[in-house]
Amino acid sequence: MKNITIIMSMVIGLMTLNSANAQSKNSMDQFEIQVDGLGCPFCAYGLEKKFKEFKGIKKVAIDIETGDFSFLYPAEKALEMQTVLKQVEKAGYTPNIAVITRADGSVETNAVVKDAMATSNLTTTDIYVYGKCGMCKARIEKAVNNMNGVANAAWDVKTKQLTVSFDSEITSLSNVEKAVTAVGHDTKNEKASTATYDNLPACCLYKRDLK
Amino acid sequence: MRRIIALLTLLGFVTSCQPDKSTPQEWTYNRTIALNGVNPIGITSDGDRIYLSDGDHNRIMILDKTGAPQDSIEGFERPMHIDHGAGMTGGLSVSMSSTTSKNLLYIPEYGTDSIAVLQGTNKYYLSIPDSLDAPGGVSVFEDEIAIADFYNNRVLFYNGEQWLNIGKKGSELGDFNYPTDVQITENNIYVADAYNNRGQIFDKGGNVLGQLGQEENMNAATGIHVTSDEIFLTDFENDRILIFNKELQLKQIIDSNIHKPTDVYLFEGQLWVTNYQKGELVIYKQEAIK
Repeated sequence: MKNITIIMSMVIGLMTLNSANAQSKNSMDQFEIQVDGLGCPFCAYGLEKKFKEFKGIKKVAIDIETGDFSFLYPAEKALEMQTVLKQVEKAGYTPNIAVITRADGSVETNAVVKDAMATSNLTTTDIYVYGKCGMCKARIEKAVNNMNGVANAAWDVKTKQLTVSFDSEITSLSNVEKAVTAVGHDTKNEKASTATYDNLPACCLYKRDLK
Repeated sequence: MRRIIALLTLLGFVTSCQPDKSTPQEWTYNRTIALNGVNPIGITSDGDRIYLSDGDHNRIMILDKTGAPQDSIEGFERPMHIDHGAGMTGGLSVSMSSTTSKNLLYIPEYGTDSIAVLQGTNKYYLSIPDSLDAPGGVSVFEDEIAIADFYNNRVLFYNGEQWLNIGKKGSELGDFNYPTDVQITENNIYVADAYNNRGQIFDKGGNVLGQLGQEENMNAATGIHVTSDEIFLTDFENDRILIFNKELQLKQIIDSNIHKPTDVYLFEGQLWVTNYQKGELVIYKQEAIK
């Protein structure tokens, strides 16, 4: 009888603990943001530092090599996607794909929905884009890949060449260059505004050739 | 007579072991120490042991002279470029006696905007009259202390009597674009000016005297170390160590076995480099140029 009482007590205890854990997990929203170019610990810790301004933030995790950044935040505070993305930018970085899994199981993302593209219309070309580092790469590729009509864009840090495939019936190379300059990166033909250039993170301030 | 011959033989042996300083020397790879599970950022020594800051794991690692791990001290929030010395006593917590303030380990905590000071196992915090924003490095020299104040784009320097504010955000000579490391020497203050991609030299009045590395296409100057003859700068993104003489002329570039370096330290005649991302210490020795 004594043994049965002990076992029953343990089972009830475990059930209570599981219930408490589930409640705790269910009260938190989970945020997962891909931030490329966090190679330097000073950058990564800086991002973490800026997010600590959000009172109640838990389980902040940053993988410096992959740029995967995640945290939990109380669901009752209903932290919005735009607020999170702006905080990443405030820390000096460019957020890529972000996913919020709410405590109630619903999922939100900032992924862009594009028009269907015809393979026969795809044109692939290279253009020179000024930039310096992994963070520049993330910013340039995000700006172009988010464009309607662009199938794929990849920028090489060493050669500075942006290889872009786009549907020529939906967009144009000129639009691609405009998208790049809009986020602060000059091309051989287009120059970003001084204000946008000046707002780039410190490590991204490339030498400008265009007058 | 026999004793004299023995002494002369011994003297000859000792002098033959001394490196000939007139022969041009260069740093060459010696060995790599794998630091399992440690991502070192800063490195210093008290003469007997090596100290590493492990920013990713919020701790200080203690190694013996061979690089073997001895101990770790937990409980620091993102410790960065550390230093060892006596340092200022007047600015320390009142609970620390000035008569016992020797052999102190100074630890900038990037995540808490503070400078921790370890005396044995006791931890204190520097009392600073101005708020820091992510201190990246600290240096002590006799009763002086300097702090690289990363997000405030300045160096705070205590000259033994008062605190001075050196630099402001910018790219001109004397400005900073996120300073990450600092070192005080007898006459000067050397700063790693990370995203201006250079080092800078100041006098102790805060006047800029020169810069180095600006012609070398550096990408993130994360660490600086100064010896009696040389200045070492880490070129983080390019996986290089740049070595200059005191006239600020480039002497050597080390690019073998370097992977995302954050700091350099001269210990018992050998150069110890922290490979942050790979979790390694890489050691170089001096040899005559062939």
